[in-house]
Amino acid sequence: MKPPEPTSPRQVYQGPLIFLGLIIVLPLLARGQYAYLLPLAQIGGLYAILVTGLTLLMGFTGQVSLGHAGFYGFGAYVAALAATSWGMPLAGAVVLALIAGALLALMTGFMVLRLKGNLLALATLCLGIILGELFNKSKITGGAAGLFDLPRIDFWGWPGKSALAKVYLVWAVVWIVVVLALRLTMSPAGRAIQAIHFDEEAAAALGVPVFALKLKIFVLAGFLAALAGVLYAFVYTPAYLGPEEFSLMLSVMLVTMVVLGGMGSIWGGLIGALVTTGLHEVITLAGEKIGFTQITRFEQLFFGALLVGMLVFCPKGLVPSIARLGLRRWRRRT
Amino acid sequence: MISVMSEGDSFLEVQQVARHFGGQRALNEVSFRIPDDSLTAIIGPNGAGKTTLFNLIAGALSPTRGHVRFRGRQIASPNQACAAGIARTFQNVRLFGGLTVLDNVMVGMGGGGLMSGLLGLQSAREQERLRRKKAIYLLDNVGIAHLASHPAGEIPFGQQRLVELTRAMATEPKLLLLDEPAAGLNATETAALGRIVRQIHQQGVAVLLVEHDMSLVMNLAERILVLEHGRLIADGDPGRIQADPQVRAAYLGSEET
Amino acid sequence: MQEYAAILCVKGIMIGSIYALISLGFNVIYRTTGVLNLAQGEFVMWGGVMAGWAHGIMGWPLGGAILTGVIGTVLVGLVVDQVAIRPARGSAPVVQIIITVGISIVLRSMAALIWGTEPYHLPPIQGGGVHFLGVFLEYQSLWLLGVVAVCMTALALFFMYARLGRAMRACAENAEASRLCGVSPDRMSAMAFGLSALLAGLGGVLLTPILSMSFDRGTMLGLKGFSAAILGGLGHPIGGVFSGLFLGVLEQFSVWYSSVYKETLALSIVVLVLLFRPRGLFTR
Repeated sequence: MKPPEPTSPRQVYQGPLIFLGLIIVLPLLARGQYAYLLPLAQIGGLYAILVTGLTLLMGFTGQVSLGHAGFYGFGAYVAALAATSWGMPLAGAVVLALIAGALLALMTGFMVLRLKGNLLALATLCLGIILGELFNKSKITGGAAGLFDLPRIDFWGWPGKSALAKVYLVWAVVWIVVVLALRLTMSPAGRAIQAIHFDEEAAAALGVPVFALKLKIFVLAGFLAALAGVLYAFVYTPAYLGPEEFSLMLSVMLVTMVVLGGMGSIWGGLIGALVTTGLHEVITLAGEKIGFTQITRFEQLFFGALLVGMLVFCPKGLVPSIARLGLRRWRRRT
Repeated sequence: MISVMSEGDSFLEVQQVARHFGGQRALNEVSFRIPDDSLTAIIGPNGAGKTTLFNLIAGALSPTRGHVRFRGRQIASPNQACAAGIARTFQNVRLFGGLTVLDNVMVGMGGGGLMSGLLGLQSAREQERLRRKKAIYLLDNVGIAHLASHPAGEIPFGQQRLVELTRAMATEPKLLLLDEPAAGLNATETAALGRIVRQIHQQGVAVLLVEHDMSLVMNLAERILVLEHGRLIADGDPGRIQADPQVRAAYLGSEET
Repeated sequence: MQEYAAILCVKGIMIGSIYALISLGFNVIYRTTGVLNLAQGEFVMWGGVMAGWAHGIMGWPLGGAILTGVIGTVLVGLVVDQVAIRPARGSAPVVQIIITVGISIVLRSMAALIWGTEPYHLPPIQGGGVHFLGVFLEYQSLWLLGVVAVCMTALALFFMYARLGRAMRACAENAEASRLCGVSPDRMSAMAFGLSALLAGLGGVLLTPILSMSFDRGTMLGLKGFSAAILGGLGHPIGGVFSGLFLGVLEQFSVWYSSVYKETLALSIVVLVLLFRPRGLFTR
């Protein structure tokens, strides 16, 4: 009998290469009347980075974070403050924000990961809200008004003011993050992480350093959130940073994206982020078209109901269920 | 209480161990030593404290009194137990259901550094390849290499037990703890299990197993420890144990074989 | 100085009574079903807004409005249980928490869509107030405090002596075993949510005359309510009540230090308690 083949290089590189191709080609199609989609693609990319980290945390190690927007904002604010009030050069501000984000995740993770399941969710929920409150009310962060005159990331004029170039910048980062995450899941570390999710005690009995790994993934998720925050502050926004983005609602939305994408899959998380961002845009546009002023409220209602519906009916996520359905039909046809 | 302690054996040493859960005494003054080439069985009625004893040896619990030493060191956690060379299986099979059989076996084989996972260095990939070969070899030894790509949760129960056993062996232990490995197996599977355990023992691994299947125990074990209500009431070779009146009263007598 | 502290204590207890009531409702659900209902604050909000709408917009008399608010909230609680909690009963506790977070978002946005974003008011049951230790206590606040005390006692007796109450407790201990004894976890779940919503609705209609109620006030109330429940030890309703009052006092004192970070302080304490003494501050 034949032993199973390890995944061939073709299989391994297939996905990322196709993905790269899509990244290069698709934004070019957004011309003329579709140019407004470009900023959407930017923020979608930021959410993709956030969701990748959260998928590794929730889907693979099985630790829930209901306060992830807090790390996102922390990265953004540290970067912005470093570049303005603390007078650091841009590169230094970026590095500082990333390190600070990782450190914050290290400290909070160390304390919080000892808690089991729902208490962990509560603790992260509280932490996210506390951070959000600090962003909104602290004098250092400029309170509700925010920070102004932020520098832009600039490589000799690129991306400058070009929305298209910004999309490429953000999605170049997304691509790297996704490829690294995929690599991780296919590595022995990825196996150990999933083992932790299935049965912590059995994994520990096999020598898997359970707490250390959980903490490392938590730090990685925090680091990626800080990275998204840095990009938010220095690429996405028009030189202004305010606290509205880093709300409890966003933390819940991020969890929704992860659940939508099936929790156990990096590609799924990516799709979850894109679908959600797309849905947001569709709903907003539809609302404008029919003149419904309360469209934001309705959107929140929609996503809240979606989250509840998904968790009640298919906790394994919609994307895998749909994919399985599609695969079955395709197989029947061929 | 009969106890046989050989001189100079400090492979596994359980000394006056007691373990309380709230007001309940699961284990009380249990002492024995096991040499590094033994095949020992622990028997006793349900609730006698067998799994608690296992958990103590495997580092999942700490004793309320007394100590457990493995090769001279006290084991404070499952990670330490694994590092020291103790591997175990569980009473109800605890496989990583969503992972393949092969992945299950490879979990215990290490190499799980986060940085090497992210960077995917050539040396790391080479090591992974070697681990994979070894895992398949181990699965082949017990005859289930053809199941390597199956999700572990979807194979028949008897084969799940074998996967768990292989998974434990993949950590290259010096002491293998088997918690009721024959539970739920039919006669054929049990006989096969006996052969495999004997094979493992012949390779130089000390085996300590908890079992209810008396024929398997009598067949395999060189030495039997009998627990009842948390106390060690007998300790000797199968012949002596079978003849022991206390044991018969407590356990064998009440069993319809 | 001492008088000032006394005033803060009295004010704190008055305000804390709503947190105490919310924590009671929270604990009822937790003790019976093991679910941490993070939408409890939204239940309170619906009670107040429905009553406020009934009285202010529809012009119904106060009594009818209060009844509407309370009964309406109970219905909401039962629907939530039927639609979102019961089907997910087998899921991991974490999943259930996230579901209740989703429910709270749904309830909040629904309230905004149906009743708008303006705050609703209600006239007090009994106007005026009394002076006590230099603080002017509205009769409405005393009513609220009284209701909390009554509910707490009633619930304690209910869970200890009433057959239904003991059935609910048994259900929490072991759902399978209680099913064998003829107790249906489904019915217990519905009862828990109904009872909890009743408490929340009462809180809402009693609070609205004091502080008015709008669609977004539920979240913070809920957070503080469950903070109180955690401080008092999850599953210990009486501890939760006293923690609620304690939290109210703590808030008043923190205003003296900095009024902006009230919520932050409360939540920080919750996090610390979760980390270092998850059993709660007031349990043995």
